[in-house]
Amino acid sequence: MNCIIIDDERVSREILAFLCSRETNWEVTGTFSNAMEAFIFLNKEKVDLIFLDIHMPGFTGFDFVQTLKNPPHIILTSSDRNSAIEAFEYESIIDYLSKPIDQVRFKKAIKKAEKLINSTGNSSEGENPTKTGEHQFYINIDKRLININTSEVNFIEAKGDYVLIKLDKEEYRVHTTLSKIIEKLPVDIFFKVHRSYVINLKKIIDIQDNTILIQKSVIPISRSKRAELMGKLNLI
Amino acid sequence: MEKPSLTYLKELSNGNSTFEMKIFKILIEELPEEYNAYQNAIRTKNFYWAADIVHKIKQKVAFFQMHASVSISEEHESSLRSGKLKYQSDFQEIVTKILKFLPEHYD
Repeated sequence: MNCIIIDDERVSREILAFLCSRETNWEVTGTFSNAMEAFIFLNKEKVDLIFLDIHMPGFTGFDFVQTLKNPPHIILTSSDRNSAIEAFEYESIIDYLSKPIDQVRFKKAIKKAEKLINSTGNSSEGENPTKTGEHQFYINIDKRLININTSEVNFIEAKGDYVLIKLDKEEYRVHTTLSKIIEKLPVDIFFKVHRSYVINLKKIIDIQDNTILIQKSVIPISRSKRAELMGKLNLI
Repeated sequence: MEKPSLTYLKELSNGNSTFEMKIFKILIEELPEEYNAYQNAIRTKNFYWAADIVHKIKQKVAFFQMHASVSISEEHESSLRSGKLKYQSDFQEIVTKILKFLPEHYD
């Protein structure tokens, strides 16, 4: 089983990592001083447990939990005695450790996590998150991390320094490149039909000549991409 | 005023001196920097920033098992968040005590 530690306090990170190192069933796969770094990691790797500090500059532990779509088990840590009450509002939060962390209390919390993971058979071991489970990625808009489930994306359009991510009802403008965003998408579902467009093949309504209709948008197909696109479709 | 204690660290490390030294090194590096930042924040009347720093320092105070001092730090943090300086001198005295204690116990 693996876990990560998110805490802006270096001493706290070291203490938690030290306590985890004594647990034979556990491996610390990452320690992070801020939520943003942890988000990037969680987008690539599956973890069984997060030790999460509530009080971090600019972003509380509760903000972090709310942003996670499928959060793993979480053990909150805090030096504030009054934060525990709010923790009960979140199903993913399984325990709460007050700082400085007591060894006996730590042991009890991590055993609780083990028991929960074993009972659901939901360990990260032997699993590759890029091939199994739901595909998702995070975009950063106005200091807000938004979780995008790729199955909800209709298409993505490059617009200068930005890309537009089009969903059924929403549209997000992100400062990135099309090639960077393609790296985050499942190759069997998304296809670059034009230098400025990547489409979700499952969202195609119809194809006519050199255009594709997705929802109400008409998307051009490059001449060089047409044959490859046809090969990806389940034609009768 | 209560004295800093290494009981928590000693119990935690269970004789692992490498771990103890690692923690000491971090404390010696971080605490003076945090205290300077706190003084700057107070000087520039940036009380919210000062409160955030007190919150960080408070964890170190707790690490040294100074329970009454943790309560004072909490009060000071809360006071700063309301734009007041209650318990400022007590808090400064606590940090000064730890800053003096650290080099005496670091080999």
